[in-house]
Amino acid sequence: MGLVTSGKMSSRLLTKTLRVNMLVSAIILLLTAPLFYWITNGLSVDDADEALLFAKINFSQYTQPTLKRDEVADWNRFNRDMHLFDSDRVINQDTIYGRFFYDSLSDENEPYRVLEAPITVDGREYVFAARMNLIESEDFIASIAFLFLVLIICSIIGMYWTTRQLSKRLWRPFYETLAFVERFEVDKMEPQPALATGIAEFDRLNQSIHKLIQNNISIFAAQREFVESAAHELQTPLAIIQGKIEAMMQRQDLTEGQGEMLEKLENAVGRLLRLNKSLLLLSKLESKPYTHADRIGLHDLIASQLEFFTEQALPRQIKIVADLQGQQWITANHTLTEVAISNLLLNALQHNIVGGQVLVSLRDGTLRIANTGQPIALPQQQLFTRFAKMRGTTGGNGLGLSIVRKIADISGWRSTYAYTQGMHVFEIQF
Amino acid sequence: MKILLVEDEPELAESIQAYLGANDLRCEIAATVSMAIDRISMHDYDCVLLDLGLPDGSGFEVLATLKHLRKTDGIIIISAKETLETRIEGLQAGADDYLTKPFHMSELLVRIQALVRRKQFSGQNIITFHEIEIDLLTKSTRVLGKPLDLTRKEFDLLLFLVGNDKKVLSKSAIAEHLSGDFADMLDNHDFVYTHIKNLKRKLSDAGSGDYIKTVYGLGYKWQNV
Repeated sequence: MGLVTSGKMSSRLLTKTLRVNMLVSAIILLLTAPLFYWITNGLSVDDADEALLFAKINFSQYTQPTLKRDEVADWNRFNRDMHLFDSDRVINQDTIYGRFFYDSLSDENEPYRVLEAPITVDGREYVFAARMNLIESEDFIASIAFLFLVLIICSIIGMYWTTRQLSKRLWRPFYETLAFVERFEVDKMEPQPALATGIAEFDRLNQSIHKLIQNNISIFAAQREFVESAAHELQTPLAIIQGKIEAMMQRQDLTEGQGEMLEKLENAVGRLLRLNKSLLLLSKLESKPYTHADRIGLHDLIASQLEFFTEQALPRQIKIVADLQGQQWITANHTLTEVAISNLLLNALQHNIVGGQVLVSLRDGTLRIANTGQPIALPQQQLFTRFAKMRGTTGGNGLGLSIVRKIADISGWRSTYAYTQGMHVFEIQF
Repeated sequence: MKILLVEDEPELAESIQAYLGANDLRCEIAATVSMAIDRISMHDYDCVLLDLGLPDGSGFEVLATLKHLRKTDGIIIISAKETLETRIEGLQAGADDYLTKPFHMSELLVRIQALVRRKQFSGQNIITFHEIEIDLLTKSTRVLGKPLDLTRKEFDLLLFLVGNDKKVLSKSAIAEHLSGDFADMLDNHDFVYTHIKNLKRKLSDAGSGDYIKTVYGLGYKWQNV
């Protein structure tokens, strides 16, 4: 699950960076494209003008001195882009302007730069006109657009690749830290991510997380110690109360009403004592490792417990049906295994209905305990937490299932809950 | 019978003393390790009830002294420290039984009785109450000389009731006694009623007196008619 989440996070970071980068580069390219067109266009016009002036200089140096008046018509015939006109207008100096000419070859109006200059051939005033074909602006814009498209695509591919590589390499310590934080449970020791990653920000992050975790661990330890000593200190006064109640019960002058009160007091003290014991057990489970392991025959262990619970089930007409297939051996702490299984069985009875059922089955290394009860699925999240009491149920101190979960965690078992076919199903996979 | 109670909590010691005293068990109290060692070196006790957490040391020191003096006193550890390790440690150090605090006085009483019976080699294996004979070795019962067929639970219950003669036993005390290791798992005490009812019927069918009294609002009591 951690992997999937971190994978999703990484792509989100990647696309975010990519999206911003792509947007910025697209805007830049779109803004620079007209500028590029304007500059290039200006350059080509300048170039054409220069070429026209050269053509005129060329004419006046090599052609003009030798050209005769009657040769002008022939000269005009052989030059497509240069002409000599009779000067019907007065042109005092060289003029260059842009103009469209119809081109019969391409059946289009083509842009031209035109130079008109006053000239004297063989003593007669003429107008020298030269024209220069320009690149058609439509073609020009199309070319530029194509060029910029290629640029945009190239830069996106480049950016995608670099961002991915970067996020893979640069952000790796970050994802390691993230995965660690996701896995972190205050009562479990996990190797912490390296403090020195080579990137100042991540070092800071890891150091802060390290500090936070140390704080958490010490607060958790203090809380555990508090629960343990509180529960421990409660034992003696509770024992005194219980002793006094028992002494009181022996008095001859008790009325029936007083007797009933005493019984209720005794039951309440009994509940307190059991709650206290469960709290002590829980904090012990959290504080010290249970390393002692025995070889346990699950079949026999469950069968011996069923005897007790079958008797407990009788007054409420709950039927316990057991389907234990052969002996299954596991290696675990005997006391803890017993506690876990009996807590599950007790839970199945406590949250049952009068005339209900408990199905116990053991097969393929899985213990399955299903019971009838309130016809609603229980919230998975809270079910195994302390004091997660369900509405409409009586009895139980709200610690049974958290003890089961704790023992399962310690022993490396999987404990699950499901609500199927009207039954609450608890499973332990050993 | 003489009992030494090593317990530093005066209120609890007083309760135990009162309960046991009513059953002819004379109870002396030692509140510290040094007091306890003084007492055991001067007197012999049938049974020593030993708390482990004492103001001037651990109950294990008293246990060691008892073993060192080669005393044969029966020893029951009564401790609030409920871990498997301390239990095993205590039994290995020579304690005969281990009772976790808090406990029912009635439970303590039958444990002491059982221990003292085991320690006395005179073959005190048969408890007699008028026409009822309880054989602890064969776990069998006879009424008016004829065998009475009891289940294991009913036998335990009879022994518990007879051992706490004239004492009012609450349903929870009986339930916890009958449940043994499962006492912490008790959901309700209704099953006690069934066992009591069956035992009563079997006893009266066999011609025994009706010794089991129902104490309304509280529980049951074994009482001479």
